[in-house]
Amino acid sequence: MLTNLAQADLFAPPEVAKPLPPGSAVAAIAPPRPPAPQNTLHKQWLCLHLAQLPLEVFPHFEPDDAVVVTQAAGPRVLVACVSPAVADQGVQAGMTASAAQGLVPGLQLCPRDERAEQRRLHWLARWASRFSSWVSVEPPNTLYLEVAGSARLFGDARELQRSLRAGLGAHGHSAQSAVAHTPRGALWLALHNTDAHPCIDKPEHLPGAISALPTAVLDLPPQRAHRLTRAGLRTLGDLLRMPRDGLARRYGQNLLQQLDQALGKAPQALPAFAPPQRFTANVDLPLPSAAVPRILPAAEHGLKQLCEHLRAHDRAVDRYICLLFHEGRPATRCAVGLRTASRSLPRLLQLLGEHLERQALPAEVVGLRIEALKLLPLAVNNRDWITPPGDDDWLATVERWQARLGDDAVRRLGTHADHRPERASTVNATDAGCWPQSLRPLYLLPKPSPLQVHNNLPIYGGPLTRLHGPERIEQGWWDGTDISRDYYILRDTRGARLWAYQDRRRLGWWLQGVFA
Amino acid sequence: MTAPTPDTVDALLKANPALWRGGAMPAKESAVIPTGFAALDAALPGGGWPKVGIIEVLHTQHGLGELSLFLPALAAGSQRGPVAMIAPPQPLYAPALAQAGVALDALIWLATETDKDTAWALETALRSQACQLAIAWPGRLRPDAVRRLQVAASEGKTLGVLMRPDGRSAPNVHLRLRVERDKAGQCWATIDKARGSHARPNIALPC
Repeated sequence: MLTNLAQADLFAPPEVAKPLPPGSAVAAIAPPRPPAPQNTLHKQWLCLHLAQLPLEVFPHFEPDDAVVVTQAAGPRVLVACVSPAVADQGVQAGMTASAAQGLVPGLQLCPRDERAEQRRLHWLARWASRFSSWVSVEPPNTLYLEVAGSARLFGDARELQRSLRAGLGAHGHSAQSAVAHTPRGALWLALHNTDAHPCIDKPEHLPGAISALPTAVLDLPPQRAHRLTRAGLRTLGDLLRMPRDGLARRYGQNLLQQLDQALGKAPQALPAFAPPQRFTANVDLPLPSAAVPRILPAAEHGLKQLCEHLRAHDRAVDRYICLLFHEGRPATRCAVGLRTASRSLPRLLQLLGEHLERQALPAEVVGLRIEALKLLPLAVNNRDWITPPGDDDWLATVERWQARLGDDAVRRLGTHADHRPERASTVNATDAGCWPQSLRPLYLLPKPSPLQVHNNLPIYGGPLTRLHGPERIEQGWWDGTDISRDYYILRDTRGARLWAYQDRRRLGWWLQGVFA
Repeated sequence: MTAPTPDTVDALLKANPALWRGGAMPAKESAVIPTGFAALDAALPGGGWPKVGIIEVLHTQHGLGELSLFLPALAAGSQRGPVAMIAPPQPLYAPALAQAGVALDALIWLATETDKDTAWALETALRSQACQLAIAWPGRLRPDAVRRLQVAASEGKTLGVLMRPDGRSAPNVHLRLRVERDKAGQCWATIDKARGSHARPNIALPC
């Protein structure tokens, strides 16, 4: 009864069809029977398990120290994490602190600092983002990196694993790591192989590697784990040979799900680690100064950190703030906006330079802070209305104008479908793409200016000659600004052509435009 | 459909620098931009506005046709890339520009407050390597500022037009025009100075 289960059953699709969460480890796997051959869409997960993290968050921790991290569990104080030096002397996680002290005289006890662990884990996730675009954090001490996409950049997955662990070592962390095609599979391999750091290259090798693992890697309540051992089920291979329904009845559906996830037959949702949405860097000036050439190098230093941060997280900014601090005065604030998101240091720096030259500084600057409150994904093609297609030089020029002259000074014209002349032209709005057919002047005065009248005819520095007209425009009764005008093209004595109208309501002549 | 006569072919070749006769030598990239006025093209060295350089337009007041003179070049330039109009004396009117064939989404109008800003904006436009044509009303300009603009235009390989309603002029520009209108309303352009030509023709223009 225990052995009549066909191996093929393992690869049966899960009974309950579940929607695949985004980034799921098995989005591309779900193999029909038998397992699919090498599939280029396979994901590869690198698991980093930081078993010593509770110890490593203490600033002066050395692996040779006789120290344990303790955690209160009700009235008792239990050992949560053991340094390598005392592990050899029989101290184990889970024993009471007093028992540990009995084994190792002079043992140092440190209460666990879970908030520091969490901060450290997030910091490491940010750091690990340079190795993969998909990093996932599983508290308290595990990181997953999707490396199928990025392994080639580092040679291969093994090489990447080596670089990662070397980098972790440089930051004072030790990690158990493994690479497999499912996150749970990678975690189990990492948990079991404290030193070997296995790397499963081909998905068809995964079931074999998993079968050899002890049942201790399963995430089960202690009593249930104990029952497995008592039943003689010591490896995962033993479990895989069992009938599924029996296993589920005796040890819970959860056990089956863990096995399925490890083999890539059930989805495992891993949330992507989102880097923090703001950046701040403080820089002190070597000497207080109000001169822009002295301030800019310090700003460059801060912006360089910003650009590095943005590059590491594949982000960009379209706005940042430079706060200039003065001694005993409120800080001067300088907001720099970009037309499109960027992380190019020369571009960010040049714009800040333009702003600072226009900024009146009330006093000498002692330090500055670069703040970016919103980090955006870098889209290569996020252009907007002001950018004629396809030219970054022009974009940079337009940005410099906006920085120095102000947003209102940089204008883009558009037409608007309205017969009233003052409404037919718009600034910085969408272009309707339609305009009247009759002749219109190149300049339109901001406001029509009244013309003097002599013998019922308008004069403008002298008599005016009629060239064209009248063109009657009557419109706008529906919004209370209705007009009724007869437009003429007139020539003054010096030859300039003017666009003027006779108002049929107010009985007067007005100059509205100039043909140039 | 009738076959084009030699006359229309010649007219096409003249009007469009991108066209050339297949049997001729490999077409050189034209060094000029057609002005859109045949009489003016004929009078200018090379047969059009220079592609690179600074043109100065002297006129005694606004509204004589000084801007219409550049509308064909502005329209053609806006089809190829961005164009800029810097510090015009009055607000520009979009329908008139659209009627002339200017692509409005390629046009940027800069409203500057000081002559210094105008000169700076024109220089950055010329240097941008992207701008096809920049027309500016610079107000007062020091002679060394004009020199800077020339360097900027040749570095950015583009054409800048300076509108000088005050009648002031600067030495060393590539081309200087005087735009006037007679009592009958006829617009006249006089070529005051053109590099590569000593003639000073007076051309009647339909603007």
